[in-house]
Amino acid sequence: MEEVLKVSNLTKIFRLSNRQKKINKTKENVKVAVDDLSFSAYKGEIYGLLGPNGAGKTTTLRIISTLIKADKGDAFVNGVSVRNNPKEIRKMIGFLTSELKLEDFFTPEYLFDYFSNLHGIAPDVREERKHKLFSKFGVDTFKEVKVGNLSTGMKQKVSLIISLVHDPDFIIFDEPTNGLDVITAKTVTDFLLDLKAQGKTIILSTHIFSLVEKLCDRVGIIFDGKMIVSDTLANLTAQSDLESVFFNLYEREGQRQ
Amino acid sequence: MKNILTILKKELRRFFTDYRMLLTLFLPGIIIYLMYTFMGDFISRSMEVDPTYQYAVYVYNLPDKYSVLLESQEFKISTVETDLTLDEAKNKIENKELQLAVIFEDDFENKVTQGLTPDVEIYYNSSSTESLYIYRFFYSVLSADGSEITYDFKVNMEEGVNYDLATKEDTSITMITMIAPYLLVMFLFSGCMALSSESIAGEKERGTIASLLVTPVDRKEIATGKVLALSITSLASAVVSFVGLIASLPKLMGAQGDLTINMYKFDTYLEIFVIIVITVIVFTVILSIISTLSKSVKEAAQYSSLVMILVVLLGLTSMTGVDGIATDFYLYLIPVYNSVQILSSIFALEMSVTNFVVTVVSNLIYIVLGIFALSKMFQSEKIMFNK
Repeated sequence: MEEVLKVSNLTKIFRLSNRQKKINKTKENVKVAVDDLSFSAYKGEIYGLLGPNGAGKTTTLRIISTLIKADKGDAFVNGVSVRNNPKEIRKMIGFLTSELKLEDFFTPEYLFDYFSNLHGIAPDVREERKHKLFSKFGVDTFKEVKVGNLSTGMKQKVSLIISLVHDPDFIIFDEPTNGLDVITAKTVTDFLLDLKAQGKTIILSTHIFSLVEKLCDRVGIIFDGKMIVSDTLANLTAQSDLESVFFNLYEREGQRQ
Repeated sequence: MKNILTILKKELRRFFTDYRMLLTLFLPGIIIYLMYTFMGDFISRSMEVDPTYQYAVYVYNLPDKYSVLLESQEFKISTVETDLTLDEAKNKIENKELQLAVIFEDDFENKVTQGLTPDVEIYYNSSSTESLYIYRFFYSVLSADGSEITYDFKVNMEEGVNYDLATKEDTSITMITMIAPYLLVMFLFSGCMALSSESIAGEKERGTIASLLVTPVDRKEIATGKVLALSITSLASAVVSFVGLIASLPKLMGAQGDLTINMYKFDTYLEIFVIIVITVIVFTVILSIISTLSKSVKEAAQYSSLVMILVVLLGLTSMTGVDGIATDFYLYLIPVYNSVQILSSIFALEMSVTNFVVTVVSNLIYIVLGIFALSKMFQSEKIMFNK
């Protein structure tokens, strides 16, 4: 199996402000958001990062997508270091998260062209890709409407398309179906399977068990920034369903602490 | 009553524990104090004359009684040869070679004694601080004396005679030099402030900047693109402000007499345009840095208004007028101040090429450094994702 992503001993520590200490009800000056995390994802598979809120899923994905830097460890996409070569990484990956918003003032059509240009996509390739993606997600009908006037589902579709303007082989989706109605959510999950069928490698962060069971080949479960288990979905669910596995691990970790 | 107190306490707690709110509440008072203090200081400084200045005064028929005026402790006065004709003397005053011409009517003493109220004429040039200064001294002494019942004479009372020999151009230059640079710099800053505060801080607040940061675009290119876009837009606003300012100046100052802008030629406008462009970019870079460091548009606007105080104060340095324009080249290394001073010198038609070059080059260096700093900030997760 060809290893596309290798995360090696990744650690991220956040310094807490007085306000954050109050919110987190802690006297500690720092919070270890990601703690010595390691895992790998292979070509053509969907890897699911599963964990409760605040477990460190999004932080891990933000490090891989070069938005923030790790304090220790590194991640490699096709052997390229995230720490040493972030610009190269940005060319290779697609990243979709609720944290990345699109400017309300512009239309999907304009934004697709804008981000395509930033990725250096040739105009003919851009037009072909735009036509394909817009048709698939039904964006054609509102491609000239300003993002600010679109519904949450429509915006999510546009964000998804924009994250793929450069047709990356490695894609990171952080909670891709969050806040979507069932129909849009189905379109998105079907599309993820489509991408997988095309041989793309996908990292998916979620806390929805059914989504992981439906899509993922391999699963990593994170609690408090630590990777508790990382294995194939088949191995993890050999004895019981994913939800039971998750809560058994959760209780075990709780007792350990 | 208890509820009122509870609400009162909560509201006061809200106001007095938020430093930004406190800043907004008390800053205007501080600004007013600083502005008026500086303004007063600059205006009085513009009226000051070097105490060692040697005044050249043309006198004609000076009575013995007033020869003491020429020996005043306050002024170092040298009289010029009286073989000049009055027209020649006036010409010299107009060209600022002479500061004053005091003409007493022939047979002045006798006419006063006979109660014939003779005339005294004092010619001066109001566009010269020195001329105005010595004129005020002579006029106050003579007009006070001339109003005595037993010693009656008229000072500058002849109808239709223009005693102020300042040319229309000189008067205009004096007024424009004092006011235009200040107004222009304020317009430029306001235009930039409206856009820059919203731009980067707004994108951070709305989460749209992150979409840009995950693309392979170099951070320097993002910074340069943003600064240029903001500069072009601010510049468009600045050009409109400038045209409006120049067109309205003669009308604005109409009360001060006839003003003209005819002395300014194409090269003057070109020089002003270069300074406007460079100043707009400097402002944009400064405000973009503030916007990047701020967590929200509101915070960016608050910090920018603090910088605005500084810009106002630096802008007020133009109030010293033509005589107060900085001459030392190293003063033209100070951003914003250099723009104000070089604009003053351009409006005064006394621009030094060296100082112009120092202003442009130093500002270009600050722009490059600022863009470099911005690109570094775009790489900092602490700055870009601080909430």
